[in-house]
Amino acid sequence: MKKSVPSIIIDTAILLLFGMVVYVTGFSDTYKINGLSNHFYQLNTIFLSILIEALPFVLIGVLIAGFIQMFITENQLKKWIPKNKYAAIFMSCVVGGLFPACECGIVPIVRRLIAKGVPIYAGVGFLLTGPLINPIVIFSTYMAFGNDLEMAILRMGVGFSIALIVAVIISFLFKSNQLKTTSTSMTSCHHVTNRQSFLDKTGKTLIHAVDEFFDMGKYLIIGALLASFVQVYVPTNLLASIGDGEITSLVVMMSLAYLLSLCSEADAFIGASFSTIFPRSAVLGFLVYGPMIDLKNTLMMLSVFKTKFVIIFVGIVSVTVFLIISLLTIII
Amino acid sequence: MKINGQQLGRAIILLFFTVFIYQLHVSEDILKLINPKYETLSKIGAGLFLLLFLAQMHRVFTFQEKEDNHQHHHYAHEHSHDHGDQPLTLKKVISYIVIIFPLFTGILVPLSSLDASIAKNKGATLSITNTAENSGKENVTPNEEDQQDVIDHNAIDPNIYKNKISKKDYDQLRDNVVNQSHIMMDDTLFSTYYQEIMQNAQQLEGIEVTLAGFVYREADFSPQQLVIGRFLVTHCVADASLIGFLTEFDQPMTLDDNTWVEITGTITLTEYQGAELPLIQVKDAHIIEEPDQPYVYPVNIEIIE
Repeated sequence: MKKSVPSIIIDTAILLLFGMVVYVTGFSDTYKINGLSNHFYQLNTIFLSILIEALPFVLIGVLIAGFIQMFITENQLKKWIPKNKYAAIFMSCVVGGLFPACECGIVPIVRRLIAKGVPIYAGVGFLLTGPLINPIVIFSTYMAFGNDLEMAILRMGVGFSIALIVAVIISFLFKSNQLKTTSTSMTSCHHVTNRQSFLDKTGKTLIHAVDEFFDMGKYLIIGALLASFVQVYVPTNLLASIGDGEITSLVVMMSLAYLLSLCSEADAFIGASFSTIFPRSAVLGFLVYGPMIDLKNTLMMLSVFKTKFVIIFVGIVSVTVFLIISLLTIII
Repeated sequence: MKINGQQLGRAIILLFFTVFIYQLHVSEDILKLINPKYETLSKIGAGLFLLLFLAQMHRVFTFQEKEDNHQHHHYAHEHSHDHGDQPLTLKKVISYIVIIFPLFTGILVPLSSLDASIAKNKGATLSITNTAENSGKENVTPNEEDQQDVIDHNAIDPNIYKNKISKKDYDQLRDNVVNQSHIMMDDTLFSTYYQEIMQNAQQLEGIEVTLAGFVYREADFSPQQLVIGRFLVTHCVADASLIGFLTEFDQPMTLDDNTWVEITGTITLTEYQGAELPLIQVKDAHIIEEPDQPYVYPVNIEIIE
């Protein structure tokens, strides 16, 4: 079979670029920047490690988002989501709980779902439980706290209730979809039609994923940079010394969870290491709050939602987590 | 035929990410960033970048026949999100710079391994004291303590990449710890032994240990005291925490922080900041080179055999 001219051009370009990029990365070895301050190298290493760790999850996230865009119609989604608001919220939290995702990978998925007509409150429920409640996180929490299955259960239970509450509050406060682009034409990007072949759709899924990656990537990068900055320059001891008493230590642990921006799979181990300087409630706050909101994912949300919405949303989640956990401490 | 510069730029960035991650794996620099357990995931990430690059390449060229189609497409969603078709604005230039930034530092700035200054920031002695305190409480219920041990360490062999250990071997190994007269803390099982010693300090008193680690000090240490420890990496180095022992030498030590040493000494008990914890009385110490793999990982136990 004779290849068409366009595909020959594309293939040649791919090969040329490959050569060029490998050449550049390979030769950079001789031009390493040396002699900077030690802190800078450590900062760079932590920054890259957060990024390298998060990228596969983000890529999987943008691919799923692309898939939703191309393969799932608005009508299908409408059929799946219950008409009743509360039922929809409950369902979104449960689906989020079954869906293994991390807090940065889930943002593009939620954006796509909301653009496809999923109500904002359901999207929020999914956004909150997705990274927090899933088998990997349950297992790692169980391991990190050893015999303490209670902590894993508390984390899931309290997290789930908080997600429900936040989603209900959001449903009263916001009616529109709150996405950054004002027009609803987002969904019209590529209409799902039956005319398109499967291969065609797959190609467009990938193209969508590329756009999504470039939209979101910069926020992930800034978030990772800030988080690594905190790790290198802000002493944990300083924070720990502020935390005295149930209330202040809860605030300290929640701020720590926010600033460190750890992946929900790994934060249990860090949380566990704080379990004797801080009361259990504060550690629980760390474990519940971190996967819901952190520095990295706030920035990513800013790329998707209106700034005002993000600020109010972060505020509501923070206050709800704080109040619910404080309340729990009083009751128990 | 037209070439869309911005689309080409995006394609090149995607390819750079692919090659950058690939090179990290080839040069094994990836171990300075993440726990080897997640290597496969990261390779999948590189694969996905490659896939996206290949898909993106089809947008770089506009061929005559497709032109009409494309134009139509463009006007249909003027308000939709950025497809990279719109003209380059300052805002977009900045966002491309941000995306290129990690590639730039990643390729040009050598990676380093975490050192004592990070340990200081992370409140290393806090976690050392904590583990000891924890163990005190758990000793009350020996049964549960046992259970915890089995679950607690999950690890990886950094050097041989054989990152799994069967549960049977693991249990046997744990039983042996208490019966050994001399504990050799190798890299693979460093975290396991660490946990064992922290939790059973009383029983293990008087037993000899040999371990390698870097020097770390707190302000309130006496001149004879040092912490010799390693960073434990669960997922990526951002979640690293220092695990190490307080050690005491028979003379004031002038070793700088971050010096790597191998020590042999006897486990004794001491009190530090109000908590009882094991202290190693050093008999023999010598300076070593920083190992190729400075980090240690939690052990992965194969529960299903």
